[in-house]
Amino acid sequence: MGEMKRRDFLKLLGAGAASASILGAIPLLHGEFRYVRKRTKDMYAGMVAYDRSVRSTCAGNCTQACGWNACVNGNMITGLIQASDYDVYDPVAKNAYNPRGCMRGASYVRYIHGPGRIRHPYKRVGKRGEGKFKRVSWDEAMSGIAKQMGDIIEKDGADSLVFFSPIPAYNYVSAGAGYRLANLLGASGPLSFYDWYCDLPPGDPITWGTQTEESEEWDWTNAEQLILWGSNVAETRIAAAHFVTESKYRGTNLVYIGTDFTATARIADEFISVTPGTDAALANAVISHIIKKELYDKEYVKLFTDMPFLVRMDNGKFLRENDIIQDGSPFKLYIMDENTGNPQIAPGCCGDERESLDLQKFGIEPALEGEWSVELKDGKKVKVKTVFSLLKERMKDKTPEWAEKITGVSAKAMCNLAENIAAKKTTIIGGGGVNHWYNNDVNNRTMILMLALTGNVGKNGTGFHQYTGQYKVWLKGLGKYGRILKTRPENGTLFVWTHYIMNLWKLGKDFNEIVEDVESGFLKELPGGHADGMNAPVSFDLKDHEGYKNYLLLKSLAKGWMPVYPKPPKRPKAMFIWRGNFLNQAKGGSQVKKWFDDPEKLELVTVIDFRMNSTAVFADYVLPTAGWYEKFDVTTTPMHPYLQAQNEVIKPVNDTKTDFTIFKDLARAVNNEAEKRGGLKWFDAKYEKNRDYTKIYREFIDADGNENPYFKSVCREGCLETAEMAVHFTLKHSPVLYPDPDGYMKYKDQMAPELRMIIENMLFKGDTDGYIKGLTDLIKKHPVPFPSAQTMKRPLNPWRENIEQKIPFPAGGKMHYQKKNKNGYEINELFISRYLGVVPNGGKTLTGRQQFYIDHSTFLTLGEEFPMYKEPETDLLPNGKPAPLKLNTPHERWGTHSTFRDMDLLLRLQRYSAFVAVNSADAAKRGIKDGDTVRVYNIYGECKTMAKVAPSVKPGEVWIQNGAEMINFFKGWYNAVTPVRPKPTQSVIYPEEENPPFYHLKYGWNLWGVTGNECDTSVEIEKE
Amino acid sequence: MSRKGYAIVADLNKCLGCQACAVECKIWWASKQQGLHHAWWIITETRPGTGYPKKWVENVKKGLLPDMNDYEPKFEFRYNLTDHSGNDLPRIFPDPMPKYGPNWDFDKGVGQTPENAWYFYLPIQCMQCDDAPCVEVCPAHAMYKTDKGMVIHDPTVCIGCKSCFHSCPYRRIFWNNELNQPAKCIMCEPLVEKGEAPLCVRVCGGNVRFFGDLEDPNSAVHVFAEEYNVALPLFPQYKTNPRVLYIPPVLNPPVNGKERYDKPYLEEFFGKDVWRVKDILEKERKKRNSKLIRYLGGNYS
Repeated sequence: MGEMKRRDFLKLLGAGAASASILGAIPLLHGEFRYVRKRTKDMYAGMVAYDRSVRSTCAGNCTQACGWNACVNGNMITGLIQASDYDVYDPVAKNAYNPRGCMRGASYVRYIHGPGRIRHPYKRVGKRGEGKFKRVSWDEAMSGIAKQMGDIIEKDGADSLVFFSPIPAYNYVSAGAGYRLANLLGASGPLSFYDWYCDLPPGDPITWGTQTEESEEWDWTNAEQLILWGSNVAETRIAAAHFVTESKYRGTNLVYIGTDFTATARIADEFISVTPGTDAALANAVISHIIKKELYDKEYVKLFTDMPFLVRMDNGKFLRENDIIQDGSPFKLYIMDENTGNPQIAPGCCGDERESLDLQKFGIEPALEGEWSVELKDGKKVKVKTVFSLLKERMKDKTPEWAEKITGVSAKAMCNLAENIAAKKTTIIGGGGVNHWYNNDVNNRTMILMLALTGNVGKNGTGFHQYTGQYKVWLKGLGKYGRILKTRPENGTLFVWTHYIMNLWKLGKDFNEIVEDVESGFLKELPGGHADGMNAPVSFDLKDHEGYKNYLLLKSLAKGWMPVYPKPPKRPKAMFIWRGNFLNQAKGGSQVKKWFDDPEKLELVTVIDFRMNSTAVFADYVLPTAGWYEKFDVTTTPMHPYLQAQNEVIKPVNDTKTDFTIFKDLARAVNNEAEKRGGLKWFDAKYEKNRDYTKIYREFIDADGNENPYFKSVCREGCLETAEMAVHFTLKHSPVLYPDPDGYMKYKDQMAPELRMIIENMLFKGDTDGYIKGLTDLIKKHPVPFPSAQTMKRPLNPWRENIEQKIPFPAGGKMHYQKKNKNGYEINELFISRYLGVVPNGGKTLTGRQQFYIDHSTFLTLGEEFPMYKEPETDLLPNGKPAPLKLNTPHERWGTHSTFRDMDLLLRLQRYSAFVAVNSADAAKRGIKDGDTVRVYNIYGECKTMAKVAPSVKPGEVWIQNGAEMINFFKGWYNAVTPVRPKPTQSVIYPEEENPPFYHLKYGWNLWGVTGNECDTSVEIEKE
Repeated sequence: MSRKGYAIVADLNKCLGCQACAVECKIWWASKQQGLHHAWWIITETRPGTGYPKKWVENVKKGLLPDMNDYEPKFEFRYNLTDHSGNDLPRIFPDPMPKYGPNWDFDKGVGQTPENAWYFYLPIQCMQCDDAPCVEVCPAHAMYKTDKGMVIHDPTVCIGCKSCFHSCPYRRIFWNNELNQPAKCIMCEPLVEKGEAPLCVRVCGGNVRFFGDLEDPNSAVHVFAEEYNVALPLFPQYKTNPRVLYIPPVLNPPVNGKERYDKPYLEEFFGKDVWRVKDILEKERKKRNSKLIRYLGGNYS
């Protein structure tokens, strides 16, 4: 016994433990006892010892951006410990953001050195998707890819190469390097992701004319009522969830509106379990009750919303100046002035240059309700009503009793909710649960409306915030480095719809010709569809519901309101995918997968990743990239205003290289290939530019030093030759890093001394590069709050400045474009870090207010001028019957989209594979028991996975984790049953009239675009 | 009289069930020793539920010990994604698929529909009991208690008799079959010595877990356990005097105006004191400037 014991103990201690052998003697004498305990302590201490630790940032697309100290032994990272250092350079928020992190971040160690890591470049040798690869050298991989690229450029043009990398904000240069190469090639893309992944709340641009605005999460504690609506914060925002539980302790009324009894429902004061897809009915009822009981804030509504604006009863359009006066502007709208009894042009609306909502200043007292007769310029008289009067009429029968039948929520609960919203400072946190629906724009708009009616927008502790996706590109310098807008930025949803689902290239015509064919009645069916042998209808006739929607989408594409490249009759020939998992996450997966299955369709698929994800399985080349602790880059998030670094804690493991290096190498490889061919050129018609591929490497690295001259004296080849230089360039061109000089004087106490030093000694003395270098050095150690954010009142809350200073929404029109030039750098008049997401050429909504009535012809035709509840869409079963169960694909705890889905430690803490969650009663009806293998199917396709049977799941609904990987399913995967269902209201440009001074809605890459929703999907399940 | 030494308090009203504690501990401790593949020194159970090891609460009462399969069945993930042979896509789940796992029942709970469903999360680890059965029964004095309250196992004197494994009513002593010795949470004693909090506390993003000296009037554990007496031991009926304490999960959303939870179940787990704590929490939540709420509420502005 003693002998065995000793040997085993040596095993435990490892190689250095030889001297411990003398301790094997048992039993011990009392004198030796203490000595042995000391050895034990050393042993335990040795297990958790490490050589050094370096701070870095976790960069999953969960939006949280948490700091970790990576603990290194030798050249291995053996563990991560939360950095909890958000207070170091932030004397304002202090400890609020500590702690910060979750189990997914902690588990990343297993990706760095674990079994799922890709360590070498691979080339496919088997069939696509079979998982048979051979190891190749970097040279072989790069020259192989470049050769194929050269062939495609010669044969089809460079715009047949499509680039996709989502969420640049979690490591800017890793994304930007690829975007930059795409630009130099003249390729298509980058595809947008925020709308395609349906995280863009379209109600935000529709109401406010801006991508998404949100408060920092610390502001949640200022709310008297916090409504988590379809947002499972306790699982998806683990680092932020303590603000929720803590505000509850501090007295905030915490309401969770969702389907299932989740980890978030558990911590709420009130849990409202709503029938899937009926949230807008609930919201309509709340609004109806607010109006009926006159709980709205009259003064707020008059000033800050479009409620007093006049609408023509004959055509449903706003009354415009050009209706009344010859040569009047179509962008000047009216309100009824009670002082004079006449309609007056609303100050600060799109065409009005007064740029203020201060009606008192202009002596106007707007009527909120009423009906009048107005004489038009041709002498005709029309009736007009205020938006509010119309809203009141429409909401009259949308009572809580009406909604009770639809939502399954008691009318009393809805009345209670309405009264609480009116009485308490209320914040709504919207989530994927209400956003991933076809009618997501209606959902968001109703929620914003109920808040705006009660004055709950634009004050700390209020507002509608949706944090789904790390969408916000605080560092605008990315656009300059990656030259995104000068490439072929396009709407991801319609790209997939056009090419992979509808196969429009097969028609052999361009968009305009296709639209003409539809309008003439010649084309009645598109050449593709979601199910095999079921081509999609298309029709110019409004009565043909499906067909007309497809027509509207085609029209939008033809007019260029939504860009898609390459344009039919061309089609994509190659895809470059990095930092993302395109195929796995693609709605309409059954059809999209066909393109990846078939090397005739997509001739070249290149995946760059640190792990073998489900898209990589279908790649021709898999290039291994450095992980989050093996490279230098910068990270930001909408959830908190800190700039953070990812540091190169260890060198990239094995054969891996950073994304930056890979794209630099690829630029060189294409350059070499072009030279080998004796020159390679392509005429880029969009930019009317003859692209010469023998020059792209020099341009990639800025060999001339025109772009980033700071490094001219130290660089070897070019001024953008390293990631560090690219980061410097990106930071330098990001206005959010420059404090507003006036605000600085007022708020400099909010700045850490380290930050003040570099601002006052460098920036204010004109040494911008020195300032950026100083900032870079700071973020390598600890997070730095954006200097411009720190010259504002914190916590940050959107629209606060608009309300306080009565500035037109979103960005005060012309004021947005005014710049100050002080101390050698430019700064916008308004707080620059707000309004990052204003739509292109935007600045004001049509009314200059939060706008709930949209008089766009498409909205009017489809009955969506107001946000009114519409039934969710349904899908069919192969037998033609409607599928009975809603398939929800929620974000949940065990992964960040598809990242971490293959993580052994986390899989062991769930079910080792993907699963479908089913309510106990629904399962019993179908003879399904917990742990059974089930088939989930509809007309589009099927998947097989394990059933998790639980009472906490809503009857009538099943769910599969959003992002569950193909490699985790027994067969197929969840996107095999989802369609791509683009909604025409999201493909428009607004105002419709030509040359408006400002656009309210206009395509902007990830700012405004058609969303790729999937929650309307319905399925049936059966036991295998 | 105030207790001395360190303690951990977990607020089950805030716990998110995220398993960050489990994952961090597994990476830093249990994965560093051979023979501990099955061991999660700390894990968060969904309760009511099977628990980990399987049905341990029920089995302790019957005097049954867990066998290896009760922790986790044998499995192997198939990460051969670049060298796969077969016509279909490679898949990584184990074959055969386990039918049970350490957290198999997460978020299941009891009830019929979401409207009346109920569960809570229970992070569970070695309770560092002051009257620890494992220390009492160890014939070799291998299990010992430090003056700061940690219960530590000393493998250099262990005789591998399994007495501790048999004695623990919380089943938080894991038997290492390869080394023939026990292993368990030691409250990160070496890190605490250096002045750092245990890893499960530092990794807790939900601000659920508090660590400190029970005698320090400024420490959260003192405020919870001594000043307001809202931190309760798990299964007080075992009378082992644990140093890992819980603020019980009593702030659930009601069902049609009635309490959501199963009262006898909560009483079994935390004793009748649960209702006293509930009253205190509800009362303090309504107060302005409550010291208790300041500590529970994150202690920032």
